[in-house]
Amino acid sequence: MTATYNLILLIVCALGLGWSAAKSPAKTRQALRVGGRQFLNVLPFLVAVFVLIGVLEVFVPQRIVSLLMGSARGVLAPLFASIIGGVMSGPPAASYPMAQFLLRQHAGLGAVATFLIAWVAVGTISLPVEIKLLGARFAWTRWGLTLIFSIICGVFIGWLL
Amino acid sequence: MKMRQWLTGNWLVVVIAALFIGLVAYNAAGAGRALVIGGQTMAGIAVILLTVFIFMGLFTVWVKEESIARHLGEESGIKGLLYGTLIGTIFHGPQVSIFPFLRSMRDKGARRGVLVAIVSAFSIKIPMIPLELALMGAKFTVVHNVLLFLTAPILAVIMDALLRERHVPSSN
Repeated sequence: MTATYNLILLIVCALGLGWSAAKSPAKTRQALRVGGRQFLNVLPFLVAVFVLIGVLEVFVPQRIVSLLMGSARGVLAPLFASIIGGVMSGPPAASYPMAQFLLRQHAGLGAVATFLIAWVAVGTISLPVEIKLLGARFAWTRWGLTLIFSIICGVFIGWLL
Repeated sequence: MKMRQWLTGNWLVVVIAALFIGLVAYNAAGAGRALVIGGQTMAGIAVILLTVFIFMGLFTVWVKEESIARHLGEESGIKGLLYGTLIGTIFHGPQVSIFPFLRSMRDKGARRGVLVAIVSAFSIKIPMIPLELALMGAKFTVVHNVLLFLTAPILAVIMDALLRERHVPSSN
């Protein structure tokens, strides 16, 4: 299953590269450079998240995750998830392995969806930059609104699926 | 300055590294096991990660958000919000890079709500979809991304209303 999916992905990727190279070899080289640079930028964070997953798996009893984010917690679970996701927020590529880990540890689906949305949307760490560029009122209103919305969307996804 | 910028995006890396060093001192065998599990998890999605970053590169080179952004000054109302949502969807820089972009959009005359539509839809990461499909399943991926796309304009309308309401009394 995974092997088939990987194969399909590689074929699609090769087709994309082929199409791009046929249209413009220079732009394709640039695309590979941009992708490579992005990968190097994100790599420390990715490695850190994988280490974190390993550490949590070995040192933290499974019960803790389901206790905080299990579906039995009701709305509290997405609330926790939005805070954790909103503060951790890093590159999106790192959020999916983390989300899958939470699911494996019996976190509720709604909480995991909230976590994913909060990770990319809330941006607590980048607030100072946002305030400087767009003003405090805009930044804080947007921050609060996205935090609430991440919970609403997460609960909705959990309910729908 | 560069260092501070890096730390803003990667503070968690430092925290996790410190935590891990502490764990090695406390329980080296357990820390080793954690490293193996982490490595296995990473190896499991290595191929997907490789393709995701190639997609990202292709996306950056071939999709130009400026071509859509040109409409933002002229269009208002629902159409403006729709353009904002589209820009956010195809915008693909790192988190912090979107704020200078928004600032320049605002200086060009884009409404506040449109800016929010852009940031909200920015949560949709098209090049990441293969990774999400593999780890979260097809149903989740579809519902999650469609929902994000639909809520971006809604958030924008709410944000517009919130900021306008507080603005009127203060200006009088």
